[in-house]
Amino acid sequence: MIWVEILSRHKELIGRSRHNAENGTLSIGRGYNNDVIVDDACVAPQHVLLRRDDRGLWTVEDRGTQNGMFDSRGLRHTRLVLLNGDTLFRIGHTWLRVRTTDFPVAPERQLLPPQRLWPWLLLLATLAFGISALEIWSNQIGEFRASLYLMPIVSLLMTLVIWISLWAGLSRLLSGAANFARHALIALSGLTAALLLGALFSWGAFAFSARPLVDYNFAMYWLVFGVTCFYHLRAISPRLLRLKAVIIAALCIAAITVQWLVKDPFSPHQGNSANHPYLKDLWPPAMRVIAPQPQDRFFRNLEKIKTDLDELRKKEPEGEGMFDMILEGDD
Amino acid sequence: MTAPVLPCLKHFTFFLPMPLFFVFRCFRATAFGLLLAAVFTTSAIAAPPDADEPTPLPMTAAQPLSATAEQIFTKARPRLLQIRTLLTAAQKQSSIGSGFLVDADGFALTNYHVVSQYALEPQTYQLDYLAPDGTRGRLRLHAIDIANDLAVVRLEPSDKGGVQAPRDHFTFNPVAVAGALPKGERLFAMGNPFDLGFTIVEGTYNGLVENSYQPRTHFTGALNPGMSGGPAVTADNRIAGVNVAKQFGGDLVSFLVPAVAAHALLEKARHSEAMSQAGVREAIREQLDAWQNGFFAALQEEGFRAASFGPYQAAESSAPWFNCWARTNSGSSTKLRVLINDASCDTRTALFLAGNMSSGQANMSHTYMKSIDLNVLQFATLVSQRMQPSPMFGPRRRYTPQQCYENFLAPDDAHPNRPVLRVTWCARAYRDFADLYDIAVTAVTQDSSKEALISRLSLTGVSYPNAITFTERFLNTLEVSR
Repeated sequence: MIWVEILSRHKELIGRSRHNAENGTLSIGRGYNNDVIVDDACVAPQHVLLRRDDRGLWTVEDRGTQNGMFDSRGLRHTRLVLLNGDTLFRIGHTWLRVRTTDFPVAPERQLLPPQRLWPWLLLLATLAFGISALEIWSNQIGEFRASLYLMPIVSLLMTLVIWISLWAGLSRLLSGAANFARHALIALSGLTAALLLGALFSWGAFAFSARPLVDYNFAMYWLVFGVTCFYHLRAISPRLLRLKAVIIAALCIAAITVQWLVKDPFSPHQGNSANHPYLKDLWPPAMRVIAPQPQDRFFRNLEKIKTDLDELRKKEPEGEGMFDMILEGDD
Repeated sequence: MTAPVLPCLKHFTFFLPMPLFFVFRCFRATAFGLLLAAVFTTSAIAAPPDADEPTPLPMTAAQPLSATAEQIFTKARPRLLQIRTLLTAAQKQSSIGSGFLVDADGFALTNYHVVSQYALEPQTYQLDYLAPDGTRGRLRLHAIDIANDLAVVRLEPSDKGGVQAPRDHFTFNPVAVAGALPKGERLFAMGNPFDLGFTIVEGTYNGLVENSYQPRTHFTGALNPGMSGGPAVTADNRIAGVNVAKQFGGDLVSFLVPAVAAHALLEKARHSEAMSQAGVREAIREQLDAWQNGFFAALQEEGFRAASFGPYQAAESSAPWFNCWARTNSGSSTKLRVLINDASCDTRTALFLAGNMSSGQANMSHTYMKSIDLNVLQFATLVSQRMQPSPMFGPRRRYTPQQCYENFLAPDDAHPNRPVLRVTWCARAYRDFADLYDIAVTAVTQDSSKEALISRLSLTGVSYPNAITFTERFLNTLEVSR
């Protein structure tokens, strides 16, 4: 008793048939007088003959066809010995293999109990959109208008839906299951983390008078983004986790470096921060943590600025930015 | 009735299409006027027609309307110059102004702002004159006075071998040099407005501008771009001042450099050599440094007076040359969420250094804010928006990028009533002039979550020690009493 399995040109199983191997030969081809019929225009009506040899191994012989028969390395053969159930041969565009009933298969995978993701999803969605709304509310210094809340929240929601759908689609394509709820959970966790950390960094920059926390907060955002992507990938398939982690880490480091270089950290006076070399967002005075500086120390720090400026004077100015050219006009 | 004064660009596009360079030249010639316009923002005054006004003159006599002006112009004509800054590579003018001969050896006076491009970039620009008789030639720079916006130039001898004939020239009016001209004295200003040809304008001497740190003569007459650096003479054809600026939005409100400053600079320049580029920069640096030292000493001497903003006290300068304005939002809405009161003082004039660079300005302002129904986070957002230091514009080859330091400043034993302040100090240095800086300080009170005073100080063209001293003085006057 043997199974003949037909695989597509991408080597996905598309059909199998069971055959009694008592009389020792099986014919394969497109014609209806064959034991195994292959629906492939490039296969001859009578293409190959499968035969068991004296040692009990199955061999396959070309019946003198125009297109011939190939092994998995692409070499043409007129006769091929099939060593085991994994040996493939190709006729036309179709792959075939032969497996005996004692072909070993892997033990069953563990069946995971169904997870209740929806309560978590609801909680995280409330949290993420709550923080966004709170942020908008604290910036409302004019008269109330619903559109000021609706517009950003709707656009955030749409971005989120598109993001989750992309991952779910990819998941469906690569692992067969969309896992929409799981991807939604991961995306919402990432968003919530980014919002919370962003507020934390902004507060920290004020409370500790540490502007670098907001100047370089993009590193934090990239890390949150990278971790989120890693979990999305893990949800698609738990294989090759280390490789995925390394690739994502490398991409994150590259992104942070590029943005850091654009900011020009080696001369923090130039680059992007030059237009805002001071903290833009103040928090309520009661949220300050660091002790205020005594007057003499404060003014000593101002003297350091003079030293920096006198150093900068000696350097040649960098190329004129677009901003300068507009302002400069004549002269 | 008052009519709006058309800016030169509009005025010209109205008559004929102008190539772009003309627009630029036009702009340049008005640069000083623009500077002043930013400072003087007086509203237009519409006076009702006076009932006692005499009826128009009967049109009977066919006599010349102003024989005096005609005589003056005929005599003055050979002493006038048009001063042109040419882009050397293109041999096209990039700015124009006027000047006048004051010495038989070919010394002439004009404004510094007329020759500033050449003075700072002699490799790129050349300085030429065009006399009313059509003769042209090069000019050499002999002396500058930044504070008074004056320059002394000298005509290059036309041929090297021959002895130059003494040139016809103006002399100074001793009464004007002594500053003793009476208000109402008739003056005649001359120059070449908009490159349209030499003109003479009749006007009135109105004494020195009140409340101005830098002495300026108030001349009621029509000065226009291109006339900068031209002479204003008394009826005996002697110098009473040098045309320098006009008030945008005003009618016939123009300004002259007083004769005394012009006379002094000429005496200094008479025996001097032509200045090199390095010499010009050093002279500007020295003059700016001396000027700002004098200015800040005078400011300290004038002292400060306290101004109240809710529970806060802050200082305003008592010096008369500050122009102060106040503003409130209390009438702007029926559902006001926060009360904002602004008070701002600045000096009326700025020193012109280059088309994109001016100096010698001081500005102090205080913004008091009190929440009506904003919560603490919303109030903090509003304070953040309002406290942004004003951006420092300007080309990178003139200034270094600005550097800032910010921190919380504690009250100390000497000033126990001062609340904790969040102070942002930003400064930049002038590339061309060592030891001069522009600074901007912002202090935000940190004693209440629903009430704050934002105090700002900005100084341009100041030495670092003066900047620090003045900032310290400024911050020390901030107090709160609850």
